[in-house]
Amino acid sequence: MLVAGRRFELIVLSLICLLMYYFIERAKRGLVPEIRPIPALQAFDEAVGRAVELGRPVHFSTGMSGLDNAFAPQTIAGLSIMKEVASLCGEHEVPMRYTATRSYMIPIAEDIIKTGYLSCGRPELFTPDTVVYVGESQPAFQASVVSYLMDEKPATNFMFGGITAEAVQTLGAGAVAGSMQFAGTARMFYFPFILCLCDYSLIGEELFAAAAAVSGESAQLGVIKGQDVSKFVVLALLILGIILGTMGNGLFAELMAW
Amino acid sequence: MLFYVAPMLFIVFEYYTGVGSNAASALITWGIILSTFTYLIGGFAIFRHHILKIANKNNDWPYSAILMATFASFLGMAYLHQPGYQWVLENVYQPLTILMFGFVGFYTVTALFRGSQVRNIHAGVLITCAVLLMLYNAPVGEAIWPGFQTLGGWLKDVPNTGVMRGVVIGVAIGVLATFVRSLLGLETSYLGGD
Repeated sequence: MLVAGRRFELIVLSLICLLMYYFIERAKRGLVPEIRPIPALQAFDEAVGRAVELGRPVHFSTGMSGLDNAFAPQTIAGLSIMKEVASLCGEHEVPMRYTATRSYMIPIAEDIIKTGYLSCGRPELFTPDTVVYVGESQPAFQASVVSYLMDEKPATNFMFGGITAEAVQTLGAGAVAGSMQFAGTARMFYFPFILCLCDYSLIGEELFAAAAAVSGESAQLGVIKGQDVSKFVVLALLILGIILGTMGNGLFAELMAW
Repeated sequence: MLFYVAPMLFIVFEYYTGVGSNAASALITWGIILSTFTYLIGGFAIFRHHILKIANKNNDWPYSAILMATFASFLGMAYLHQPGYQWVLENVYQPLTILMFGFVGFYTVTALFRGSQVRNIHAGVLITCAVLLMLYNAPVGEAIWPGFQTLGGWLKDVPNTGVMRGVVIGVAIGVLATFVRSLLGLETSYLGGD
């Protein structure tokens, strides 16, 4: 029934999913894990407050990757963070712009931002220009966002999701324009640019942890605990594999091929 | 949410069991077809944005007018005059795209140079490593000091590889966390607002 070579993988996958489910249920029952504060999330208030003081807008983008490829989980994490930013913008009456590069992101982003504004009783802040679609090409995105950042000089520039090479130009422009910058991705090639060009960064799994923690709900915090315990499971398997492999035992190789 | 979670579960089921391969392929194709239809939303959004800009005579409105005229003529040529369409594609669109990439390349270097700062200890370590790796890759590095080859090679093969593997494990678990949150209905941001 099960495909050969994928059985052990399925067992590990199921174990990790069950661990996460267990910690979610545990958190729901009141055993909420203590999560260290994530500096980037803590600075969101300051970032939006800066926009109020300067009287300038906030820019948000989830980059080129949409929801129809392998980077979808990163885009989803970016959207979760956008929910929080939109509601902070609504609370402080700060105009926000989202630049979309995938057409199906338009209604999603519009809905998130509208809901954020509405939750603070400020639906009138939403305008047709809040979500700008620039086409599906990377140069178009770069040209549009760089031009926006240099002309409008938004107080804060957020970029969370499966971002690609467009981040280099846009974050570079944001740094030159003097915007406070936040960015996060799980794509390794862009970590150096984020670290050098942003005030706050979420790299690798931090992006997913932040997406879960941003709501502050106990069940979501349980997921983060599940992630940490899962890492220990994977580490234990790695150490076991190294020991067995060094001893010349082929058990792990057999398990992987099972 | 059911329309998102059910196909996701079915594709995972098919991957591990091999049952329903045709149905899983069809689901993926349907997804692609559906996402193609969303170009209509994109087209509407672009028209709305630029027509409003022209109507309100906002900043840079002439560019919006040029965009609308170009869009209409390019679309018209695609259906009415194929050779003209091909000519514009090869002699206008492609050179402009190459120009844009070239411009962006220079812009990247200057923006990185102007925007990069040692904002924290991590950025400091990163920039130091970047300089060492540049000297490792550039022939001039070896001419200055042969040790840059050994140091750069060690940085690339040992800490860099180890960290990258660690990051990959963390990211994979993070993706699984998103999967579990989506399955349990804790993650609904892809559906828009609450």
